[in-house]
Amino acid sequence: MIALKDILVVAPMLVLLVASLIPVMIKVFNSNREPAPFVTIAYSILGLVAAGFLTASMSGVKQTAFSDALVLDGMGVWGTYLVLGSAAFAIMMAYDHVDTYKRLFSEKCFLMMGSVIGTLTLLLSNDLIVTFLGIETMSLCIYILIAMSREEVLSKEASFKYFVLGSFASAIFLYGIAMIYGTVGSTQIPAITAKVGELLTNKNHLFYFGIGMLILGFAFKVSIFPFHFWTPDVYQGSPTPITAFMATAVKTATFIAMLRVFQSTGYQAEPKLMSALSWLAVMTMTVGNTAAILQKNFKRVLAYSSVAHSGYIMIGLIAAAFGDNYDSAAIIVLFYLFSYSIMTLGSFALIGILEKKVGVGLNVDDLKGLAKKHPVLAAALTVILFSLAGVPPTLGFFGKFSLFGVAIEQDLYWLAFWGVLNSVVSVYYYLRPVVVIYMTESDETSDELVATGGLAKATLVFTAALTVIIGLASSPLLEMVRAAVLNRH
Amino acid sequence: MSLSLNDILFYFLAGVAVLSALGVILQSNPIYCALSLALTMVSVAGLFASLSAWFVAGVQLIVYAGAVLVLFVMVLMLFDTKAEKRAFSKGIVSGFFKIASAAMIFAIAGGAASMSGDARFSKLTGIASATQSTKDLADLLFKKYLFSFEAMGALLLFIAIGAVALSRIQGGTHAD
Repeated sequence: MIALKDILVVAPMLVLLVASLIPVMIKVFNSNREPAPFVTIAYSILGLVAAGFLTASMSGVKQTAFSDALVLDGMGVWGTYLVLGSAAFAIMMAYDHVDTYKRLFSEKCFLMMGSVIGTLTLLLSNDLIVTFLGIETMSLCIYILIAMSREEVLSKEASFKYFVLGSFASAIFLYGIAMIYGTVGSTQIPAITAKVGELLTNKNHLFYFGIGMLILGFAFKVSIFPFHFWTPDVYQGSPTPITAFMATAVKTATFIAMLRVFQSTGYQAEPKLMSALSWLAVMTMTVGNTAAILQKNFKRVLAYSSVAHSGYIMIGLIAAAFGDNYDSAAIIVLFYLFSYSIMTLGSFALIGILEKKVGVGLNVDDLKGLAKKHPVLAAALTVILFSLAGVPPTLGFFGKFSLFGVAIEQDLYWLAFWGVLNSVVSVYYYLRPVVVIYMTESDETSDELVATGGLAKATLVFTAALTVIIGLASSPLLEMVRAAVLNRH
Repeated sequence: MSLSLNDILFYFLAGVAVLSALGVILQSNPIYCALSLALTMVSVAGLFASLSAWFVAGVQLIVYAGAVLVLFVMVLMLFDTKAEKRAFSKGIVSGFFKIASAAMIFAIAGGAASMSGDARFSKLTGIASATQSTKDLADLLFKKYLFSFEAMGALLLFIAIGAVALSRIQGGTHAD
């Protein structure tokens, strides 16, 4: 039966739904006149903050809701915080970005919030059917958001490409669920993880196909090689705030859903699965990093960097699924997602600030002269790029350090080696913008570098500050995450 | 050989279903194809009803014969059907796809028919009574899968508003 506690678990989603509907309803009752963008954004941010407080009020105890369809545990709570924060920054960036502002802004905010509801569903899901619904809600809103950009050629192409490939991946994911249901007899994730070992030991081929298709569906969403080809085109074609949201919230939620599926020692029964996943991780890192070196467009550089980061996170995932200490690896994955999201939001915020003509991308070389014209923004970007490259004492360094540390702890020396090697390669393209900013003489005082957008600037400076502050004091955050996740039992 | 009323009903409905299905592929006017498809759907709904699967019969009528067919006819209205007809009635590639899809359908139907006597499929016992099965379905939808059901509703709301918004963007959906 449905009790009050079930409703409480989904209360953040309900609050988000109501908050997102208010601006759209104002528009409807005001003879279809767009409400002031400030009003729209205020309702959205209020909704996100309220959802955050509601989640905080329920944290500490593991709860399930709706006949075990949803589970709210430490991982879900911290994933929710991360997604809500990413969404808040992305909406702030959309407020005055050239591709998204003013026209149809209330609908854009509504769809962003809809996508957040999808990510929360995905984060809390304890049943593969709910996982599927979460992925679809999250993605369908984003397909539409990309197509709603003011830019008319690249964004339409990106939206359509993402839609077709995403639907294909979803169909495969659903087929995988059907096969797993056929072998396990249930779609509930705990029931599946309990039987994984037995099914893998017995070489149940239907289950092999099922789990393979499930991983494939997830891999598409987080752009793991060889399903990463859409990433640079879609990231480039999307309005930058939407790209920031995709690169952070969507990735976070999908990786946490993957962690839930991998929460079983039964996977150790099939070492081939582990070596397949390890190869995927290595290829993802290598392809992402080498391709990023060749890019001129800053957004494409960051897109390939995000592919590479998916590879790093895969290392943590493998350590969680095939190591003997799931919890410690899962905590590190969550921590790494935190550091990755903060850095990614900051770097996309800078792109959003400097983009001011529809359809004109930002190349790395365009950054020259930034240090003179906007020293604060230049410094903030430098901090974030150093952090992405993993230079101590920034947040990115501690993220990578603990990730490779946990891999070594689980005897995954080989993976840790590839991770370190790739981090070294990545330094080249992360530091190239820094070289352009500080060491290239700008010959003419270019009018190109006009920075717009107060909220986006605030996002950039705030995230840069966070990378240093959390970097210097990473252990309190790590301890909080650890306490929350270990509380699961 | 004595035929009960049920048997007569079955043969009648099955005959109509097969004949109208043939009509779907043999007619050259797409509107007639769509109407034949409607007849197929209705007779299949009748077959479900004769098996006392009232819920499936109702869904078949409302969703397929109702909504889906109206959608088909609406889409047909938007197309230049003569050009479509020309494009689909000749050509090696479309011929290949026609033969391939027909072969696949025959394989599936033949496989199903040959396996229908298989012992593994005959142990389906304890089929609930008609009202019971509808009640069970409702129980599942509104109790066990309540969250998924409601999330689906929210998803449809997002899509509906998104589709309207998408039609009003600059450049429309057909940018050059």
